[in-house]
Amino acid sequence: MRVYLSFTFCQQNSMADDVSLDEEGIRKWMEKSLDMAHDALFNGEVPVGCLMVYKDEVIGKGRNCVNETRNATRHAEMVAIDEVIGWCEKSNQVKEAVFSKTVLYVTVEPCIMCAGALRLLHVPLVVYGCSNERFGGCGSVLNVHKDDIDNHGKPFKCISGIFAEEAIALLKDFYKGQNPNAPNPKIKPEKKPESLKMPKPADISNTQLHNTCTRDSSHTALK
Amino acid sequence: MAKKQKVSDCGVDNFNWKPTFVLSDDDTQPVELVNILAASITNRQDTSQILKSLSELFPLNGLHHLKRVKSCKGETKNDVALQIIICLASDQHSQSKHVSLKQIFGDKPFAGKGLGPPFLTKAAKFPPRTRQQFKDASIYWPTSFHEDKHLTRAIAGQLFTVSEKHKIQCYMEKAVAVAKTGKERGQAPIGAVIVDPINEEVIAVCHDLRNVGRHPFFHAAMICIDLVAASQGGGTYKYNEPGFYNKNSQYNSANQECKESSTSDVNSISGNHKDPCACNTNGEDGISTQQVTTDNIALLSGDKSGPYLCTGYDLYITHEPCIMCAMALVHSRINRVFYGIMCPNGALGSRYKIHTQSGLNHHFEVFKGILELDCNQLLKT
Repeated sequence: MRVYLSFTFCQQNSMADDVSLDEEGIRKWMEKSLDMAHDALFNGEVPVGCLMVYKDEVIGKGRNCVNETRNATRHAEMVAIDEVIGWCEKSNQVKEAVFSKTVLYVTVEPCIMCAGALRLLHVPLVVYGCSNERFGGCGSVLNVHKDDIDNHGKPFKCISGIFAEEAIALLKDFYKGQNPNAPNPKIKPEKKPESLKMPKPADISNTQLHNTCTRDSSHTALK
Repeated sequence: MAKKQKVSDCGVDNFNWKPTFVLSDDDTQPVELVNILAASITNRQDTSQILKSLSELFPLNGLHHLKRVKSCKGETKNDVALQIIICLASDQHSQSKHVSLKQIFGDKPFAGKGLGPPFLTKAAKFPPRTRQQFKDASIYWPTSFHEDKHLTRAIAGQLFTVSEKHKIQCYMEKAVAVAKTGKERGQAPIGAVIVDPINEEVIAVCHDLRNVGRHPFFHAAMICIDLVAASQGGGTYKYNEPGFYNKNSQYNSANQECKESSTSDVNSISGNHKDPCACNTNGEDGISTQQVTTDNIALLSGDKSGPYLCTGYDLYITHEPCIMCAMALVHSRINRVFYGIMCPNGALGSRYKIHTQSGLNHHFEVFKGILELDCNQLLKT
C-alpha cells in the first residue's frame, strides 16, 4: 500500500496538547482504519472505518453498520464510541477523562452528526482520510468541529488527507454496486457513482487541502 | 371540505399554543440590495426599442427577478412616468456622484438615446421567497414573485386545521407524559414520539436517558430513531424503561388508544371533538424489546416493500434537538419535526437550521411551540 504523508494540519499547532502522535503512528492507525472500512464493504455497508486510540492503545473500533441495524445513525464513529464506553466500564475508567485524551482515526471526514457527537465527548483530535462533500461536519458542509456551540466543549482539531485515495477507492467500489438496502425507486440510474457520496477527486488534491489549511489558519488568526 | 371543517371547527380552536414554522435563513433574512443604474424614459413610445437594446447590451445576469421597467408617478397627478434599469452599477459608478450616459455607453452604437439622466438606485439582489421579502424588495424596485402558497400558509400559521392541531397536541402530550416519566427517574425531562401520519400510528415512544450513566448519546431523538429501527427488525440497543414503546413490542395498548382517538377525530368532522388528550396515557409498563418477528425476518431478507428508516414519519419532541440529533434525523429521512421549546444549542432553528441546510440531500419541515407551556413546565421542579 502506498504511503501518503503529505497530509495537512487543519489548524496550526495541531498536535493537541492532550495527545501525542507521530507520523508513523498516524500511518499505522489509518491503515487499520482502512481495514475496518474493507470489512464494511465486505458486509455490504458504506465502507467507512475508524479506530479510537488512547495512550497508544486501540480502545474502540468501528465500521459503518447502517444496513445491518436499519439505523441510519450507526456510522463507524458511533460504533467505535460505543466500544470505548464499553472499554471504560470494563476497565473502570472515567469516560469523560478517556475521551478527552482519545484520538479518532477515520477513513472519511466525520459527518455533521458524528462531529456533533465528538464535540459532546470532548474528543480533542480527529485524523481522517478523504473529505465528505455530502455530509461533512469538519469543513465540507458545516464547521461543527470548530464552531462555538453551547454545551459542546472546545473545538477539536483535524488532520486530513491521510490515505485519502484509498478511502475514496473503497467508496467507489461500494457505489459501483449501489446500496442493496435502499428502496428501489430511490435509485436514480443516471446518477454516476461519484455523485452519491464520493468527494470529487479534485477535492482531495493537495491544493484543496492547502486551501482548507489556509482558511482554518486565518480563522485561528482572527481569534 | 376544508371550508366545511372550518365552520364545524368554530369555537374549538382554543389551543394555548400555536405551531410556529421554523424558516430557513433565506426566508427570514432582510432583503439584500445591489446598486443599479437607472434612467427615466423620455418618450414612452421608445420603451420597447430601448428595452431591447439594453437587454442586449447589459443583460441582467443573475437579476432576472427584477422587472426592467418600472412605472412611477409623474409630475402631474395622472401622469405616469417610466424608468428603466440600464445596468448593474460598478463600484466606480457607485462611488461617483454623477454618472453620465456617455460614461455608461462609451462609443457603443446605442448611446442611451431616449433616456433621461442616469441615476444610482438600489434593487433586491435575490428573488423574494416570502411575501414579506416581496413587499420589502418592491419598495426599492419592482420584482417578480413566484409565491410558494404552502410557505405563505405555514408562515401565517394556517397550515393545520383544528382537527390536525388536535392530533398534533395528542402526540405532543404523549411526549410530555413520557418526559415526566423520565424526569421522575432522574433523567433529563425530554420525551419523544415518532408517528406514521398516514396510518396515524405511533411507531416509537421514549424519553431521554443520557443521565445516570448509560450512554452520553441516549438523547430522546437518538433513542427514538433506534426504536424505529427495532420496529423494522433492526436496532442497536435494548431498553427496558417504563413508557418506552416500539410498534413491534408486545405491549401496544398505547398505540391502540391514540389511533382510536385520532381516527374518531377524522371520522367525525361534524364536531365530535372529544378531548383527544385522553390518549396521553401511554402505558407505564410499555416495554421495548428487540424480538425479531416474522415481519422482520421478511425485512431482513431483503423485502423492500416495508418502511425505510424514518421515511414518512413525524417526530414529536419536547425540546429542540441538538446538532447530533438533528443530523441523525436527516440521515433517517424524517418527514416533519414538531417540538416544544427551543434550546440554545438546538440545531433546528437556534444554533443551526439543519432542516434547511444547503448542501444536504434531505430537508424537512419543522414546527416549534407545540404545547410550549407544558414543555417549559417540565424544566421546573
